[in-house]
Amino acid sequence: MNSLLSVENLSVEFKSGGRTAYAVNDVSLRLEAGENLGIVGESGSGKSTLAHAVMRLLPDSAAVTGGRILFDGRDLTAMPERELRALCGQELSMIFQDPMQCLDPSFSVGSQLTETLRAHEKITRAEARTRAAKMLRAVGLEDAEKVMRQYPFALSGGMQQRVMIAMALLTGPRLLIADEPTTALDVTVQDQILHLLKELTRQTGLSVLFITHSFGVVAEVCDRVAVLYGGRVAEYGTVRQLFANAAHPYTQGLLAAVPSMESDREQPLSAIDGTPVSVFAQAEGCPFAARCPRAEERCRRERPALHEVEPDHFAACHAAKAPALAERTGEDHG
Amino acid sequence: MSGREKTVRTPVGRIAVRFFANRAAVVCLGIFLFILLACLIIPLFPIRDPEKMNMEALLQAPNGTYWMGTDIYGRDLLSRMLHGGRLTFNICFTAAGLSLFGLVLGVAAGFFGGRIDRVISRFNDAVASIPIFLLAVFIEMCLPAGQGNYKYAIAVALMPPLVRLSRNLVLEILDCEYIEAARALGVSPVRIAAGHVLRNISGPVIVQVFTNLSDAILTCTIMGYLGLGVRMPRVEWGTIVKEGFQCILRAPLQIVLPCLVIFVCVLSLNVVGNALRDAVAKEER
Repeated sequence: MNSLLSVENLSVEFKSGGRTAYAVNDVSLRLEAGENLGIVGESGSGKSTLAHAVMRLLPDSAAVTGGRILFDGRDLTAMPERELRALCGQELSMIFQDPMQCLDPSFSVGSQLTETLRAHEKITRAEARTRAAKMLRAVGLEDAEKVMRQYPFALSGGMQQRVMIAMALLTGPRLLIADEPTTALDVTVQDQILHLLKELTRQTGLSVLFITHSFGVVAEVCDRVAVLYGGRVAEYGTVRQLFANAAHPYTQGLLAAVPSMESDREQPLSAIDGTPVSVFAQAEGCPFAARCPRAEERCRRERPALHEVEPDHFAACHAAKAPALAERTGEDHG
Repeated sequence: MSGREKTVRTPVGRIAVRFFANRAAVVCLGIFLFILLACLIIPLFPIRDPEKMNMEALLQAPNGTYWMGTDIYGRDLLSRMLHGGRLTFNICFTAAGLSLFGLVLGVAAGFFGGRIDRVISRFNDAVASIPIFLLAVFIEMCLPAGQGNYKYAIAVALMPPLVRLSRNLVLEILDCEYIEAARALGVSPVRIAAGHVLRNISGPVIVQVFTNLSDAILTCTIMGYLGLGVRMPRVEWGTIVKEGFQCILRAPLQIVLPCLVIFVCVLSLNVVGNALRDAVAKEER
C-alpha cells in the first residue's frame, strides 16, 4: 500500500546572485494515512522549503533538483500544473504561519470560503455558503453567519487561523500541511488551535504534516518527528522514541534547551553553541560537526548516512550507530 | 475608526464614509461637479451664441448682461467658457479613459512577468520618452486638424505612469501570502488575477486616474494656449486663455477669469484625489 505522502531523496536549491543555497538535501520522509508527522528544525533548516516544495509553491529562484514527492503514489513534482492545482485544496491543503497575511483583506470571510469550495466543486453559491457555515462551526466559530459577513481585519488572530483551517478543510482533504500554524499566535490561543487540529485529525482521519520549531507542539499533536538540520534529516522516529531516546546530538541539544517546570530557575537555559550551518556551502562531513559536543575527526571528513538505531528510529550520526549504543546515550541523556 | 465607520461592512462603504467625512474634499467634489454639469448641460439650452460678435460691446467688464464680460470681438465669455468646457472635458475624459489601456498593460506585465513583462516595460519606457507636444503636432498634421485630436497625444502621455503603477502594485500583491494561500487551496490563476489582484490594486489606481484627469485638463489647456488647440467655430478653454492674452492690459479679467476656472477645476480634482488616497490608505493599513 502506498504511503499517503512519501518524500524520496528530495533536494531543493535556491539560486541567488550567482550563489547557490542548498536548502533541502536528499531528504526522505514518509507519512502514513491517519498519522501526524512533525518536522522540527531551526530557521534555515529547510523545513518550510520542504512544505512549499510539496505544494509546488517555491519561488521562481528555487528549484527541485532531485528526488520525488509521492502523494498516494502520484508524483507531485512531475504532475502538470493544472492537475496539481486541482489536487491542492481538494486532497491536500495548507495553512500558514500568519493568518492575517493569508486572508485577502478586501473580501469577506464568507466569499473567500465559498470561492475555495467553488474552485473545486460545481455547486451553487447558496450550497457553498451552507457548507462553509457548517465548517466554520466545526472549527469552533459558533456564530458562523456573522463571521462569514465580516472582513478579516475584524477577526482576532485565533479566529483568523480558525477561518484558515476551515478554508483548508472545506473540501475534505486527506493531508493538511501546517506551516508553523501557531507561531504568530498568543500562547493560550496556540493551545486552542493545537487542540482543535488534534480533535479534527481524530474525528476525520486527516493527516497533518506539521512544520514547527517547537518540540512542545510536536509532543502535543504528532505521532512521528523528523528533525531537520542544514537541510538534511538528522533524526527521524516516533515522538516517544525521540523524547525518550534521542540518538542525534542535535536532537539532544534541542530537547535540553526546552525549559521544563522542574528545572532549576537559577540555572541559565541551556543552548547549543555556535551558529547554524551556512546553506551556501555543501560541507563534506556532518553538517552539525562544527557545533557538536561529540564531534570526532571522522565527523568532519565523512557525512553520516541516516541509519536505523532501533526499529523505526533513524539517526544520521556516526556516534549513534548500534542499537546498543543508542540505548547507552539514551541513559546518559534521559 | 469612527463609530459610523464600524457599522459599514464593505471596504468600499468604509472608504466612502471616510471620504465624505473630509469636508474640504466634499466641497471640492461639489465645485468640480458643478462646473462639469454646467458645461455639459447649459449649452444644450438656447443661450447666447459663443461665436456671435457684438461690436457695440467690446471688452466689457462683467455686468448684468454679460456675467463674465466680453472679449475683443464682443463675444460673451460665459457662453464661450460653457461651450469650451464641453470640448475640454470631452478631450480630458477621452484621454484619461484611453490611458486606462495602460492599466491592462501594467496588470499583464506584473501578472505574467518574464518576457511579457520585459516587452511591455521596454515598450512603456519608449512611450514615456516621446515628447508629448511633438506628438501632438504630429497628430494634428495627420488627422483632421483643429478638432481636438491631440487628445490622443495626451492619452499617450498619461499612460506610462499608470503602466508602472499597476505593474508595481500587481507585483506587490502577488507577493502577499494570501495569493500563495489561494494558490495552495487550488484557486485558478484567472480567478486570482480577476478577483484578488484587481480588487486589491483598485484603490491606488482610482487615485491615479483622478490625478490623470487633472493632468489632462492642464495639458489640454496648455496645448490650446500654445496654438495646438481647436479652430473656429469650435472653442476650448486653452484657446480662450490665448485670446484673453491679447487684451491682458486693457481687460485683464478676460484672461484672469478663464484661468481661475481652470485653476479651481484642477485644484478641486487634486483635493478629491488626495482625499480618496487618504481614505483608501486607511483601509489598507
